Amino acid sequence: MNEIQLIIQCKANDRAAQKALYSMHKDKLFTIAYRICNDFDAASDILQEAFIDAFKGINSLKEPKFFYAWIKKMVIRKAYNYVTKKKDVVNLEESAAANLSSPERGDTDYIEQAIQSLPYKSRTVFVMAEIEGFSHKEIAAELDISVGTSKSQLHYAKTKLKNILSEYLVG
Amino acid sequence: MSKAKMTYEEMISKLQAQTYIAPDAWDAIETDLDLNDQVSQLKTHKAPEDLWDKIDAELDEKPNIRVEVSEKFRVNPRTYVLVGLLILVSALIFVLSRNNDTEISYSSEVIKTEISTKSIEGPLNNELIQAISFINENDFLYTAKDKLDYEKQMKKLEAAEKDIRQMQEQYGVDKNSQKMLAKIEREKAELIKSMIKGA
Repeated sequence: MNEIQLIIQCKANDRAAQKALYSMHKDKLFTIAYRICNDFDAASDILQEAFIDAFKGINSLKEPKFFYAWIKKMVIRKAYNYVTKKKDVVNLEESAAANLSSPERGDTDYIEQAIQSLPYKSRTVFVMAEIEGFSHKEIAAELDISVGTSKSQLHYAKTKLKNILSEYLVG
Repeated sequence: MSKAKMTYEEMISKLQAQTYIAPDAWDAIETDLDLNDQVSQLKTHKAPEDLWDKIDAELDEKPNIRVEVSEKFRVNPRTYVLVGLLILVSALIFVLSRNNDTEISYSSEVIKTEISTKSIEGPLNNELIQAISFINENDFLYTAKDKLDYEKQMKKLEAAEKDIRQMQEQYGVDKNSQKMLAKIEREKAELIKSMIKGA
């Protein structure tokens, strides 16, 4: 059964189709949530909330082919709201930055930690723009910031990441 | 850690390929969705039929407004009665005194009017009566035409005088009507004088 059929059945409140759709997208969405909120448990809660909201409101989705884009935006909004409200987010970023010196990590883990050491706004913009392929206009709309802010935050994130990862990046 | 360097684009590709395995949250999602289904399937209970009648009756009742007055400012009900009586008596006295004033002023006006009427009419009437009787007694002194004109003029003036007096009886005496009467009297006197001169 393809995704479109699953979504049509989800509109009829088919629990099996809902589970299949969840299994299809859960890891990708969890990864986005985790990269933004920098917290495993919080990312898990965000994923859960997003799927519940999506299944409850799936009848408002006119085009089934846009389901993933739709739920991805939900996850990003929830994750960004979480980091905006979280008071000790700076501490988490500092601890991530401190862990960068760990010599036993593989390439990807090290890069992930470098991303997590970024301030939450530039981190979110970086994840959305560079990894998830959002345009600056879309980022501005989703995060309720200006396009200019989105661009400057991305520039800041890239510059900082290049500095952190200078030993491992060419050029 | 691998010592091999990579480009920025390679790094992004690696990140895009990298996914974390989400903890199994399906059970929690299913429980929530089941609960949501059950809530949406809950029966709607009908409100009692007579509920509106009670609301309607309650709304119809006059609001029971009680003004809390402290003991310090509470007044004996007898005081209210006394104050009311005083106000009533004062109002009566005021109304009666005003009525008296009106009567006095009205009668003075009447007296004044009578005096002014007499001052105009009194002497003129006597002269007129004498002059008229002279004209009537010395009928031969006048031509038929003069006598006819005189009588016509006199009749017009008397008719006008009669109308004004009738109006005064109906609507009361005022300055204008008095002036008009005086004017008629003067015209009558002029007419009689001219007749006597003509004789």
